Amino acid sequence: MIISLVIHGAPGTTQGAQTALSFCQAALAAGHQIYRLFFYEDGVHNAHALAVWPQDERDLHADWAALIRANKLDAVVCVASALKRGVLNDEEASRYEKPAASLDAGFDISGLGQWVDACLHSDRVVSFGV
Amino acid sequence: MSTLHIVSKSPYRTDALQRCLALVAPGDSIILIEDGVFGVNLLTPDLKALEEGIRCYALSEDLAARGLSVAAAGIRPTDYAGFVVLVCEHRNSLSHG
Amino acid sequence: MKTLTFLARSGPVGSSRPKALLDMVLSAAVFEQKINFIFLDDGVYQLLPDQDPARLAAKNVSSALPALELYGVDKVYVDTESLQKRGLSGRPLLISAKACNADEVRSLLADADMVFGL
Repeated sequence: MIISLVIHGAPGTTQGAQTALSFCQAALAAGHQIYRLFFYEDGVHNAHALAVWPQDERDLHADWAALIRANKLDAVVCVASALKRGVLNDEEASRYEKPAASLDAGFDISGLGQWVDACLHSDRVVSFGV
Repeated sequence: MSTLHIVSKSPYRTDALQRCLALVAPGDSIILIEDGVFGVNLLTPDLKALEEGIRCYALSEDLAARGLSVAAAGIRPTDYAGFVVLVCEHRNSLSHG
Repeated sequence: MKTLTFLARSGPVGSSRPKALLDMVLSAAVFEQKINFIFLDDGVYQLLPDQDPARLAAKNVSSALPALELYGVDKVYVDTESLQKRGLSGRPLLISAKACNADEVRSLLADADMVFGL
């Protein structure tokens, strides 16, 4: 089946993003296709490349980035959610004259149109961390 | 099967499980995940909802992480692979926040 | 075309959930999907007129609800039991929404390709 995930939860605050990651791994292991990961609201914090985690805590961002890279997944952060939370790529950082870009290179910034597109092209869309 | 209801909040903290039970219909299933697994001893087989052939699951990783096991006879433990199967078996899913 | 059912379950002002859901509804509408928009649980508070979040220097998200019609979102429902429980039965609402009960909500869920609730 073709599955997309909507991730609402920030890493470390609640368990939602972690559940989403484990679900994504299990879906891939079962041979399903992940059409898109859509990070919405606080979920965009999962794409924050500048976050530093203590060594004895799980760096969920690093795990997402590795999973996305290994499986060539399409990962999108919602632009409206991301800008408010300081998750910016180079283009947005220079557009808004901010001192640094913070979005991991494995993620794209785009709008809710990408979420609608995921609904259109997926058999199932599952929300995590709501 | 129609809807997979995903309950991720403790029933002692929010009314997510209650709101789920208010909407659940025959042919639906419920899966308790994250702090939602604290609801295992509330979902007993004598609940009206369960009499109507609604299947109940609890994510085994979340149970084990909290030192719990399935309390009621009507609830089946399932792992992430089983969670994925449930998502595929149902037409849609509703995450009750 | 897909049938997307949205459940507005949170009150206005207290969190970003109403706006996050409304943005999803309007985006889906732009792409001309079949939409059911149901206000239930605390979501019915979004339908009260005379909200004044400016008192908190907050934006009035509900003021965008009348635009639903312009976006072609005409299947808007309000759960009567949620209104009743909150002592809001018979109150005038910000937009016209079809009164529905739990059975009707269940059948809208069963008919949906995808469901989103916030």
